[in-house]
Amino acid sequence: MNTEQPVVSIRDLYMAYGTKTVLQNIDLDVYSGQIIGYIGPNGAGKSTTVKIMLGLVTGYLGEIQLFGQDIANGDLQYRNRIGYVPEVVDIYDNLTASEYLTFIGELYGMTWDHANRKARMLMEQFGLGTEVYHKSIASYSKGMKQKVMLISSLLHNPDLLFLDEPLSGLDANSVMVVKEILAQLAAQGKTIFYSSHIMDVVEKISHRIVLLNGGRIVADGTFEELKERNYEGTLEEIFNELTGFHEHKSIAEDFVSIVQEV
Amino acid sequence: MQEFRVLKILDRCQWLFAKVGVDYPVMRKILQVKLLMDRRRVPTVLTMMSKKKQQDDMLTETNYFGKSLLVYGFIGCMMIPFLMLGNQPMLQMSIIFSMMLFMMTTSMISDFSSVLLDVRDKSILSTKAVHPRTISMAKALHIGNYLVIITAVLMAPVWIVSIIRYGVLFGVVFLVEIILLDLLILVLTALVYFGVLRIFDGEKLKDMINYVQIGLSVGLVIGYQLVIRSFDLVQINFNWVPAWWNMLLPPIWYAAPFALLQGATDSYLIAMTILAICVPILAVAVYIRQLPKFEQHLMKLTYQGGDGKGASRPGLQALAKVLCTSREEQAFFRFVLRMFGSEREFKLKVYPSLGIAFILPFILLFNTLRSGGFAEMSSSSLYYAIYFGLTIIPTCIAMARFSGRHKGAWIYHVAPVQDITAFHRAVTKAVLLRMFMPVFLVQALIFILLFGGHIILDLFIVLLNAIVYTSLCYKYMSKSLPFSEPMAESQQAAGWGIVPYLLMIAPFVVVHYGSTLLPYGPYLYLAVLVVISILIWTGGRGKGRQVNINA
Repeated sequence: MNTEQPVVSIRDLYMAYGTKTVLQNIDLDVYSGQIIGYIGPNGAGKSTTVKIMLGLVTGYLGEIQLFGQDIANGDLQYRNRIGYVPEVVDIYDNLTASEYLTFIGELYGMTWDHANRKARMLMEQFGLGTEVYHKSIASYSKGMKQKVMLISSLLHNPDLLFLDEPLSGLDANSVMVVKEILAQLAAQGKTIFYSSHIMDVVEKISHRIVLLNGGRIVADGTFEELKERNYEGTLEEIFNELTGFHEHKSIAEDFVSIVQEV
Repeated sequence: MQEFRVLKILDRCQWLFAKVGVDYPVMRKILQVKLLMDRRRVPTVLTMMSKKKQQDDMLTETNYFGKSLLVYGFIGCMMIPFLMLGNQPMLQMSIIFSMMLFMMTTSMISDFSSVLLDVRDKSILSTKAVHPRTISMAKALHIGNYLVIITAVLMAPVWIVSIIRYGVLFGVVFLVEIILLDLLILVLTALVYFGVLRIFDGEKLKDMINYVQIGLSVGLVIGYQLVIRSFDLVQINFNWVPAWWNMLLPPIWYAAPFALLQGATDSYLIAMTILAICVPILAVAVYIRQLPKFEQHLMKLTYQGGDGKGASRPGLQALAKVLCTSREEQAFFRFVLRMFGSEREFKLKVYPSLGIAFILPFILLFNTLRSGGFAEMSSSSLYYAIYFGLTIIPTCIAMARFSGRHKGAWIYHVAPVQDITAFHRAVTKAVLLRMFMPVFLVQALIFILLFGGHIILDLFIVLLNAIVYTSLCYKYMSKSLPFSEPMAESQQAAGWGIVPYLLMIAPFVVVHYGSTLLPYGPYLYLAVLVVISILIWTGGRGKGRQVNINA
């Protein structure tokens, strides 16, 4: 049906830590311009998949092609086309934003001047002026750090983005800005892997939703398709349905009754 | 960004890196950023103290590393007597190389673990199109840089003296050996990490680093004592005869070539010389091949090892009930004990002084033992040396204010705590019980064995004095809530700040000794102390300030 080459192509991916299987039978083709809502309960294997694609985790079975190139073939150039926002803010925070972002830019093969100019302008767009730009990141608020992370993932104009809870810590206005940025980037043909536990956002911005449970893909399609198949109203409900979670009411009742115990 | 001299030197050997497949410009970048961060590590925290300093944030980059180098230089000078005195190169050089091995290994494990084990590297560097080889090289050079500087400072004094005394050839051999031993140390450290990471999780490794750091501090004190006695040791006419088990001790390998230089020809010596040259080179080769595996294991560090120990220890509960009156105080007491046991940074700052306080009395005894003999010592009043153990107390109390997780202290202000003095009492009790008592009990036991049962009464007086002393220390020290200030500010608090409190121990010793001069004096003194201690222990209900911190 789709004749263009997929940006991401995963074939029969299997991964285990020791004896514990974390991923199995993962098959996935992702085309350019898509925002993939990559969701699942804690420990379903979402971040493992992403880390494998980034080359952070090795020892998997199966085949992964990014931009038509097998990532195991030893050529690391494909990474220059990837941007990554990890869930945990791993950052050299005793550097200033200016120092950190130019450094990251240079690692992606940009010149210092180009990286610096772009980083400064992007920071300004996020409402972080020159003074903040030259301050140590350790002094930033959570939202400010998150903005730096977002900029560091976009500085080199990547074609494929892996975002893990990219909105965490941002205020409502910044959230709107970032959501719009993502939509426009996708319209330009970028591919975005969007992982989050906030179902409302995933439901709204994703073109396609991939739901992982227990290391397997249990649902894959547009939100409308998932809705038709599952007779449920919201993504949150579909999520509960597909991960086999129905006890939220009784757990809440028990919880409250324990709270009231004096 | 700042330019570093090391980088300029490396620039000249660019071609070398290109040859081994390292992307030099990228590696230079990484190294530059790493060095910049090291320079900032302490100062950025220091600037939190004064708002004024914060303004020129990036300008105040005091080099703390430079200060610690002074210590290495000093230790380096202490090696000189070993070189000068005596005419037995095997023995002298073995001692010098042992000192170097000890100093370098411990400093590599303790101070530069952060370099080796920075887990952020994984997600920041390894997700970019940077070859792992380039990252490894940057890391190796980063550590290498410090290794070279520390070695230079540590070994330069001895090396210069060696050239003056034994000539240029000796100096050249010495220099080559220093480099070889450095390589061995580098690989050894990495292998220690590797081994621990293989067997345990990251938490265990962090604990281990902690203990090595503690060991280093204690080792330095003992080492210093050894040097004082070195003059005798070297002059003892000790004739070194090669034995097969010498092969197991690397410092002796490195001493062997100097014996060969003197014209000795022994098959053992030749074998050791070969080991000295080949082992480091082989070790480096193995290390380079194993490096990628090592990096894989590093991932473990990010997992918080969860060894869920029993939620409540009945012993602790009972103890809290006996020692503390109110329920609030009991809760605080248990909390403080747990924090003492689990805060790595706290342990790092406090445990070395525990070790030193433990050893100091024995060093004192050892001195007398050498000059007088056992009989003389055991009949003397030297058991007062046990008062050195009290030096633990002000250090612990001063440090209890600080925590690596000081931000958690908001809970004190939110919780409806009625009696804040209960918290303070709980801290003093925890310090006494957890920090002072274990050290004291072991010391007391050894002292009883050395001096005989008649000192038991005195030991009780010491114990009660410790209780009074603790409360005095607490009274005059800062009244900040425990674990409420950032650890980084502890630098001065635990340094010179506690000296006055240390001097306060002297009156206790004087009164104690004075009481023994009177008939029944010690018993009376003991009785008085018991009364005072009980008053302090229960907090003197009436006087206890009722402070509501919510106000």
